[in-house]
Amino acid sequence: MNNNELHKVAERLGVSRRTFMKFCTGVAATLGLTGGAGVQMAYAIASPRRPAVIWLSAQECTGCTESLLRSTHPTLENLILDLISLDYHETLSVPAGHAAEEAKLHSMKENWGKYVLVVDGSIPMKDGGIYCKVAGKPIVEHVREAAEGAAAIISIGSCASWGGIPAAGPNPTEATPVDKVLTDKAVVNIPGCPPNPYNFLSTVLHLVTFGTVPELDHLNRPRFAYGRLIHENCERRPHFDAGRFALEFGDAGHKKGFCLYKLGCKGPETYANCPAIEFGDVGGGAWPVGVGHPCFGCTEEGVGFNKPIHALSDVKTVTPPTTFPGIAEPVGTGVTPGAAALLGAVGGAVLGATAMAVKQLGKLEKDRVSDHDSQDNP
Amino acid sequence: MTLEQQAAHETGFAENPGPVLEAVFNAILSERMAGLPVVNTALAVEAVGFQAWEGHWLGVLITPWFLNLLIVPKAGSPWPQQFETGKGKEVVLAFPQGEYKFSPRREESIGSYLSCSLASPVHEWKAQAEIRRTAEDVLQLLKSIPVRAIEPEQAATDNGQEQPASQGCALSRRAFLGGAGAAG
Repeated sequence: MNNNELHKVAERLGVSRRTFMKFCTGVAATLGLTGGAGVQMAYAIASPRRPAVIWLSAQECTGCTESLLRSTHPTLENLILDLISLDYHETLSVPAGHAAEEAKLHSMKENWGKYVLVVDGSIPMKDGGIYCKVAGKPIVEHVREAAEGAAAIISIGSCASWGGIPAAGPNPTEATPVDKVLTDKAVVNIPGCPPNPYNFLSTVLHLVTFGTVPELDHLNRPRFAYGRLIHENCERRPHFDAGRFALEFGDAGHKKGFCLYKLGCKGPETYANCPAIEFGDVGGGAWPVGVGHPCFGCTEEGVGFNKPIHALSDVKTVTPPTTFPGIAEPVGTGVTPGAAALLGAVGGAVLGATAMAVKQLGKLEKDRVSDHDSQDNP
Repeated sequence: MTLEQQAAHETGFAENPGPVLEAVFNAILSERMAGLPVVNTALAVEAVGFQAWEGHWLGVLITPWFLNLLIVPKAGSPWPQQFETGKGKEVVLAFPQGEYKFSPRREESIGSYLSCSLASPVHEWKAQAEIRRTAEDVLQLLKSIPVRAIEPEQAATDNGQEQPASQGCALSRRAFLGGAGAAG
């Protein structure tokens, strides 16, 4: 592997080598890794061995796929599609019918024990799983079969992670999240409706580079993306702290950009990095709270699709500070571990800013930023 | 609030801003926050440990709905333009313990200040003494200089960020004399 190959992959992605390296370093920083990890990632991406991905869709709306493909930064979707070998995806497959099914089975056989299984949508379990069938077979069987040979399993979206809309009451199909079906397997949850493609990409990049998934929280969500409450980094937070609330849509407070808590914002009980990287990679400050709608709590089990939008957040789901990442302890003091953990978590949140800078790269590229990468880049 | 205090916020606080902060946020508590589920009724408004630091007041503000690290202007010290408010604007300040993101704020009766959210909501603290202890510890940690032991091979790879947490004063004589960058 040499610089030439990095050049080639950058060309393939339609960006400069410098942009490509910056992107990798930024992703590494978002993941809480050092700059060296970014270089490793760049080489992993440049490697001709691309991991096979089997993407199964259960009870879903295709929103997760849409958000992945419609990202405003072309680098993201190019990178995702370039990075992986998407051997089976019902929406994107070239073959159809029996040929598609054959392609899937062939890829699974070829890559047994090595491929990544991605599932979007919840799995209906009632009446033998007959309410969602693909190729004449309940989706639960497809998922179980594919899980057997998977090196890693990712639940993308809230339906696959918690059940989402299909599981909301009265749940006529007994819609079940993937990790409740594959109880003997490790499943990474990337909830969101839809989740930001940047979070999916960062997780996959970690997997491809290091062969392991990034650090997870107690609900198996990557900690880099779901480590802090939306409320804690919210752009409307100064208004919350000062008790200035919008009381109705369109009232004076709403027009002034006051806090949306009294309109039912679930930011105080929802863990996600939306304030830092926004929602669905739409860009331009567009995320629910940014455009004046209360957070819906889509990434949080038992909040999105379960609590009414207007209901006041009742703040039950609080992560104890002892589970936050730690920081260097000072010498000769007896401070409580909670305080150190708290400060560590707050410090880690700064990394969101790096993700933001990285997301601007696609734009920079369009502006034809001069490129001297062969001289001044490692 | 006295006229004297009123005047203070335009030019910064000559004295500890704690009492003014407490008065302002107690008023917010009784006027606009009363009865909300985000309010932890076991806690009270309290300004903890405000001391002059790098020319301004650094301290922690406890309220029943947030725990924030605050930097409030001190009279006579310049307040940089980039610390003024703007939509979604943030500034990152590097402390010895790491980098922390502050949002520039402006409140009537306080003036401009910087705020870094440590926690909100604050339901996990069951008593004022508990959260006060956390606030004091946070300030102590923040002002401490981290001391790290240098392993020879780590110094060789020159990868400071990957080093494990401090091991007290377990520096070798060589590492101590050579400094972090030159050791090994």
